[in-house]
Amino acid sequence: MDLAKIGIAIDAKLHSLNPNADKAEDSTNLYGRGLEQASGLGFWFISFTMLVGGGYGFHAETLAINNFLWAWMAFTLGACQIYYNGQLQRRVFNLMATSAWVTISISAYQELGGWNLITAIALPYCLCSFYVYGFLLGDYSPPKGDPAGQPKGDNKQ
Amino acid sequence: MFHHYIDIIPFVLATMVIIFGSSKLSNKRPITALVILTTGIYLVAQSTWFSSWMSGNVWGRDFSNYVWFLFNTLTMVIFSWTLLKSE
Repeated sequence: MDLAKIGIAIDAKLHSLNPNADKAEDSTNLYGRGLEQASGLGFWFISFTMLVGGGYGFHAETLAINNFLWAWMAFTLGACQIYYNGQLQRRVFNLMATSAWVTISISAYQELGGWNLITAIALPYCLCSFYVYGFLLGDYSPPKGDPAGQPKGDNKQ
Repeated sequence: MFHHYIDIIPFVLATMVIIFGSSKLSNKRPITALVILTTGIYLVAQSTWFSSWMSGNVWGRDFSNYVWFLFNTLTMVIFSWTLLKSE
């Protein structure tokens, strides 16, 4: 089966779980949504790594948070990023995700003493999440003119 | 020891607030966004402090006190905001 179709099917299933999904079914509103869901899935992988991976997180990790608690928080944030479609929810969780990814990135850099795969993945997620957060802060009022976006006045033909 | 483990209760409650409370976010009530963000800061503060305490990490414990400060300040902002906006 086509990998893209599998992804779309998973995405549709997740959207169907959300009662407000229809309100967000707009091309403008959904900008960055895929990245957020990928970020959420990334947090689930981080959570899994914290639970079953050895030797990471407890002693040298920047914030000195126990692995299990890190996994707990990463799973919670991941679930919220995957589930929620609303504008305000996306703003809040993008801000949280930015903080979390930059923490993971710096922690991995410090722990492993330089660039590594976790840092290399977490840092772009941090930057992209913050970019999408900035995008979502933009003005969402309807464009001037009629609802279809056609300009009125002198430009009307 | 037990008196530290009861911190699990607010930790679970905070998790519920983030997961389920986020459906109540509203542009008409921007304080709701602050509530969710502050709850996230609480999770970080509580887990950092507890982990640092368990492992004897003095730097982490001191650092988490600053995170607690941030959480406490935001909580007072929320309280003040709620009281000022109440009828």
